[in-house]
Amino acid sequence: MQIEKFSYDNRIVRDFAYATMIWGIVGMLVGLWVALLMVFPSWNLGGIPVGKETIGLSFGRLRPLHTNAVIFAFVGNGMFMGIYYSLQRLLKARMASDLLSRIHFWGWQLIIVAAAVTLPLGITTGKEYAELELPIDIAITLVWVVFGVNLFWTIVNRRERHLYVAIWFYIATLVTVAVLHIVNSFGYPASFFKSYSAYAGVQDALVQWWYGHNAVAFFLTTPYLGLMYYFMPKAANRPVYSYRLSIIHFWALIFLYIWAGPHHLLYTSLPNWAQSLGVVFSFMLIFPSWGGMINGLLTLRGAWDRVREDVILKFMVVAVTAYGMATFEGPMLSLKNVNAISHFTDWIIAHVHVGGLGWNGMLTFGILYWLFPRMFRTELHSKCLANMHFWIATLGILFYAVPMYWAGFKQSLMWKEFTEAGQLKYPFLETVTQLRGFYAMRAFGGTLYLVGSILGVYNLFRTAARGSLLADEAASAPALERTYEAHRGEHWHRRIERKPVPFLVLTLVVILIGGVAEMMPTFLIRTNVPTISSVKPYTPLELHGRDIYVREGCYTCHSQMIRPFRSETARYGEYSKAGEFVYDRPFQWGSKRTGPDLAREGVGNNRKSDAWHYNHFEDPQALSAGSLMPSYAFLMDREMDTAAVPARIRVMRKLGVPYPEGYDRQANADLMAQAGKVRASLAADGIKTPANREVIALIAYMQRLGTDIGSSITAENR
Amino acid sequence: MSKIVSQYADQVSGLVVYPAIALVLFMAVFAAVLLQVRRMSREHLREVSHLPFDTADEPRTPNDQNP
Repeated sequence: MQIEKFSYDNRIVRDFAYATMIWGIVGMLVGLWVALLMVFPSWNLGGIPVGKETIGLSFGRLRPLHTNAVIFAFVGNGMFMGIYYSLQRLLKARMASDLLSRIHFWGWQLIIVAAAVTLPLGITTGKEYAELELPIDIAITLVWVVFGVNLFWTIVNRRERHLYVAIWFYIATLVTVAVLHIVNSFGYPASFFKSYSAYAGVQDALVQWWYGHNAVAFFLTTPYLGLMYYFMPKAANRPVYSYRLSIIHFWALIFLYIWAGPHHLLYTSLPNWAQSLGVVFSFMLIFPSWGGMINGLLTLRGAWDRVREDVILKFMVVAVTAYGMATFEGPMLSLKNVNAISHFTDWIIAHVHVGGLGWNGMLTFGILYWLFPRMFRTELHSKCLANMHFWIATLGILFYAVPMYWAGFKQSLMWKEFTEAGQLKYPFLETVTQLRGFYAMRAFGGTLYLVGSILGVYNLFRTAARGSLLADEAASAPALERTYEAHRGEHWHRRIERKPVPFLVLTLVVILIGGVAEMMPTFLIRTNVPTISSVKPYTPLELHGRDIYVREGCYTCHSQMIRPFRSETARYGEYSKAGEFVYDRPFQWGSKRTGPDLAREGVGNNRKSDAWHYNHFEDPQALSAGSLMPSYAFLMDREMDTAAVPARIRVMRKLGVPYPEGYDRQANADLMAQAGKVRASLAADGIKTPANREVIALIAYMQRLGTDIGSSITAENR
Repeated sequence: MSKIVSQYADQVSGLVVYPAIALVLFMAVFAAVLLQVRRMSREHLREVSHLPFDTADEPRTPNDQNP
């Protein structure tokens, strides 16, 4: 048998490792800053004019920057680091193309930079975790294809016939992220950086949360499970506890995960059957998830004594434990009775941070501590510092999560509490002002985690500085024989484990079943979204105001979805109907209520005067003492972009909105006529402002909300 | 427990066919995989689970031991 000599590319692993560390610190810093904005709302810096644009430094624009940075920059680069290291060793082959590896690396970093520039500029689709606009979405697709080609080309070049379980998870990640990203990003461009979702209302919500939940599943979970299956055995010096269990874990997990998205939309206007599917499959997810967790923890069988001494194992144990906690909590949160309490509250923030800080963060650093001494051929700079990092980070997670759980319960119970006379006990504002202490504790927990990460990054950079990179690591292995004689009585799984293309196809089929079963009926059966004849398209001014609402990220704090609970209908009015959202591209139901629901803001006694809105946008605390809302005074100076209106109307027409033919030419005249009325209304209350200011459009949109299906008297404002 | 089950069962009435099909599909896949993994030989499982360690050339730190 001929032994071939080759080398592994460690340079690409190092580059992704540096990127994950640097972007991790950046993402966590932005996270800490937005956490502090919840404690000190006056620190919201509003908008800084740069030419015609405004850099937004308030919560609504920075929160998507935080989530994108930690998901796609920190975890994304961490994932690629681990994949590029383990894939080469498991296949006994260098990455097929160094050029493709470099294009992948620099392409991904450019996308991150593009996100860091566009999101503060308010260039956003307004869909959570998919905020990047169409040109960047296309760039992501191209870079992902480069990654996929390089990965599969390497598999083709392999010297090991069998694909280890970690590689199955990488293949599932590759194919599913591609499907999710492409389907959810479908949009119609109105300009280079402004597009409207191809889906509207309920359908947009279903596609978005099918994507959103599976971004958690296939970007934050499956690749990291692959890394767990490689690096945990390596760190523990013993093979995975049960390879059998890993097979069941893989197929059950990818089959079930893809159905779970609707649990983000329980009690909303999504058809009930789709909600029920989401509940059933989310609940079943606990079994494969815990199978994986148990497999990870039991890999340490007989090595638990080493956990006390080995800081890498400590990081990994906390990571897998956090995975177990988050994947127990997830199915529980998917039960409708639990979700009725948890949804829209800080409980969800706690849940995702147990996953993000615990599972992804701790596993990333555990892998980094394992990799650096090997790649740089030296000892870790300081084990003491690494231990300090571990304890500070672990305490940071606790200080973050516990106050957020408490805050979530507290707020939800306050929302639902009635007096003996049957009135809502707490005005919404009070349910927020009482949480500021918890938000302060959360910021403290986040600070601890960040300090730990800075110590870790310092330690790792010092390790790199004291060693030298083994850029091309020599290796040897026998060439893969071209002919292969299958074992007698070979089972189908063993066969498929050595055939990457059928494996990919089977994975694709498995993940498509859930998506198709949920989406096709929602799109094809008209009764799933009953139309309401009184629901009309937005006027050009309202549409412009809606675009500003999306641009400023108002959906990060305000929902537009009244659930059919007494506590919600009493506070906000008639519960939301599917037919009300047919012109909403994107839907803006939101996922968190730091501010009140706005679905019926323009109706009945929820409705405020134009002057109230003007003053509230300028100085929210002057009208609502203790409010956490940032000032949007810069909207009073910014002129409306009326030049963009005709193109936006044309796109809406193409998407099926029944504006009359040629209305794009009439739209600006109607816009200015309506803006004139708002200006006159403000003038009557002593506010002098030109009619062409953005705040006028936003006020018009606020006053439109919920008006389609009539007036509504609510208890809160009676 | 039965109350919770019946509560969810009520909500899918009329559309019970969707979760039923899905459940059957999942159970079929799950049963097929379960059957296959039970039939796998210990020798094969030992071989594949040791793949991460099949790296004679890999640089090691002083504390590393062979599995």
